[in-house]
Amino acid sequence: MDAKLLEREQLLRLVDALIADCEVIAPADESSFSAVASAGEMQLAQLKPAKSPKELVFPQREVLLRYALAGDEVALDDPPPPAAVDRVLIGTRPCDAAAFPVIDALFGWDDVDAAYFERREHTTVVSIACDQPCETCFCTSVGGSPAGIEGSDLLLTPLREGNYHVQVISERGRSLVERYERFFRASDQAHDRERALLEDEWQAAIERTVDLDEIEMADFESPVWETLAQACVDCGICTFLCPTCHCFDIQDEGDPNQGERVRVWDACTFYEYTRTHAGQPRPTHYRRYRQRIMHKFRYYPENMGKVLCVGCGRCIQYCPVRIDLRVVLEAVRG
Amino acid sequence: MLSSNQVETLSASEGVDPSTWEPRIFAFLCNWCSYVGADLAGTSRLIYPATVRIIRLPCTGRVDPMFILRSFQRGADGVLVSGCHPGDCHYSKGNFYARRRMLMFRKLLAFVGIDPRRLQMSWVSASEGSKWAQVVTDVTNEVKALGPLRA
Amino acid sequence: MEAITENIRREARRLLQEEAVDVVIGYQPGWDGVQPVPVFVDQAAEVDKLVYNERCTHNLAKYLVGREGYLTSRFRPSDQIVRVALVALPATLRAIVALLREYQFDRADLILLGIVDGTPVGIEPDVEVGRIAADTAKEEQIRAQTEELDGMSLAERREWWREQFSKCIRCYACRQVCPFCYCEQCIADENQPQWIERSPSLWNNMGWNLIRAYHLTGRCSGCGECDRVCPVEIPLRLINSRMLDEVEAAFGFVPGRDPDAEPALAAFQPGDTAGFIR
Repeated sequence: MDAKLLEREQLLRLVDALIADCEVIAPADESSFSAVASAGEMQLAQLKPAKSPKELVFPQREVLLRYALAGDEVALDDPPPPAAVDRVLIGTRPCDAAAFPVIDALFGWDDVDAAYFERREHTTVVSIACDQPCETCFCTSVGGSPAGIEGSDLLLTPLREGNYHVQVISERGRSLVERYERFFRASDQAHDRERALLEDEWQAAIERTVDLDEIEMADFESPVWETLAQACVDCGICTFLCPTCHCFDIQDEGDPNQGERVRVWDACTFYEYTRTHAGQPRPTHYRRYRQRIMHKFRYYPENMGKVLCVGCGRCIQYCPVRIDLRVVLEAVRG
Repeated sequence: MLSSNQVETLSASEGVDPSTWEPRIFAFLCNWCSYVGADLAGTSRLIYPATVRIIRLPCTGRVDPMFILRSFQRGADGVLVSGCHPGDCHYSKGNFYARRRMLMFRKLLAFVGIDPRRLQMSWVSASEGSKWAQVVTDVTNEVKALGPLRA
Repeated sequence: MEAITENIRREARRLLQEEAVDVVIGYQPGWDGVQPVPVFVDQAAEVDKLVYNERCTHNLAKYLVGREGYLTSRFRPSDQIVRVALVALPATLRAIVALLREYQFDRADLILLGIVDGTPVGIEPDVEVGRIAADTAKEEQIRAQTEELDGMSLAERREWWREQFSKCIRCYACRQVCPFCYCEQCIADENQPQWIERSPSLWNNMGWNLIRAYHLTGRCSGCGECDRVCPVEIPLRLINSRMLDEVEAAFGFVPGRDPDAEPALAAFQPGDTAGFIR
């Protein structure tokens, strides 16, 4: 794989140059990724914002069609496809980047979500490796790494003497490096070796791991599920902040004369989820919690071949009652 | 009628001409007093601004602040709640509860930066047709001075 | 702090051993050993899980009410009673006073292991397991931030709140941690008719946040949990705190202070004045 070097100050200049040519999206505050007007607006010191970057390809609100009544006629309007705006997503962590291929499988499964892939095609993902994973991170337990390349077009790994080691992972990444080659320098094998050593160090720094290989899902009927979810308050924080959660609802917003059909995020933790006219198959929250875990760690892997989790740890960090997914996964070992 | 999100995309620069703009006022009227009073204004051929859209309820005690929020969301620039005079409520007490609710809701609106004068209240009895006309005139003028809510 | 923990454990052990309660709801150290989390202890042998420290802020009254509440559950036969002992912070005690006034459960169903801070509250805990200092720092912060908002023009304040409400992702964590949001069908989930659309546009978010603030008016116990749990840091406690002040100023009512006082918005005085009414 090609590699380059990028000095720290050059990163900021590179970003300013990118901003002149396309949209640049970076962590802008503690809560979210958003478009930045200058490199100085990027908040790269924090590990990651509360919200994941999934909303860049899977918006929380997306208009599917518009309708309007004019006399006896109904006018149906497909919204224009997302403008083919090239954008660079910079400052994601390897976990958030790894989420993209995981949910690509779903959005390209039977009914291909064209708008989703249009956005994916036009997004170049430039990730920055984590030199200090936090205590809720567990990417290594789900096949990831603080310096993992999955889902990224370029990965910047901070080396000790102040440069970033740049791994050119994809064609999109390569073309970015070529277009802005004036900011990059050549790297050599010593840099590659240092990057590999650092990755090992950072992987070892992850405090709490779960051995998923040994997990056999607990008996579906096991009473352990009830105690694991006792404190859960059934909000949507874990789902909405998760980079891989993708459930949605479709709603009509408007009135009989005019309106929009929108797709909005939904959460399997809500009581209203799967509540149908025929009843609610998961009326108690332990059932919903069990379904959530099984979906992420058994059903999705069985159907799509990937675990529906990248170990970012947001669900642990932001849960109002600090339910710890790692503890849950260990507890449900068969 | 636009959906709330379509109304949201209307910006101040888009299509609101200050010289011709008239406020839209949604009015929640109690069936027993204010609605009859408004009807009397009509049968008396009193002239007053055509800015109100009237919604009839059994009692002002039925007014849920959700109705007011929804009205603002759906294009109202002002909301008027009108009912029987205190002590004369057809259901004895409904307007007493409404009085407290509207007071608190105005405080909430003011705190989040929505002018509380966009939520108005009046006591108009069945025989007060001319009061109704005056109330609508005054409310219209006050809300007009505040400008469109969406600006 | 250790004394309070010891008291809680002692009482819990006694209550469970004597079979006076079925469950003790309290706090345990979280998995990280730092942030405590709610715990539901039903065995005397497990009472050593219970702790108290200054990071215990969850309003445990939340677990008593609602569709799956320990005292109100829809998933139990109605004649099966669960007796609960609850570790109750000052805000939780205030919440219990208000919930009793809303006829959510009977006082007799509950044993309160109270932690008091000297602020007036309209209920006696069954056992006082601790005294702590009232959180004046938090009050100060709220006052300072509110003053700053009051100093703004209406238009500036509107812009400020627009920015806050634009962040809302409608996760409903604020609702779910609140003891007063116990409606089995929240107005936000009502779809016949749909009062509040689900999508997170500015006006939909305002509709949600304002209606919740209004529904809490005259009830909120001031625990601040809604503010703590918001993942996008909307300063919700400023709104709820302001409405508490408004209710007190207009009606002389403070929720949780007097068990016999009628809740302000479920009551009236014929002499109530409201100067804005034509």
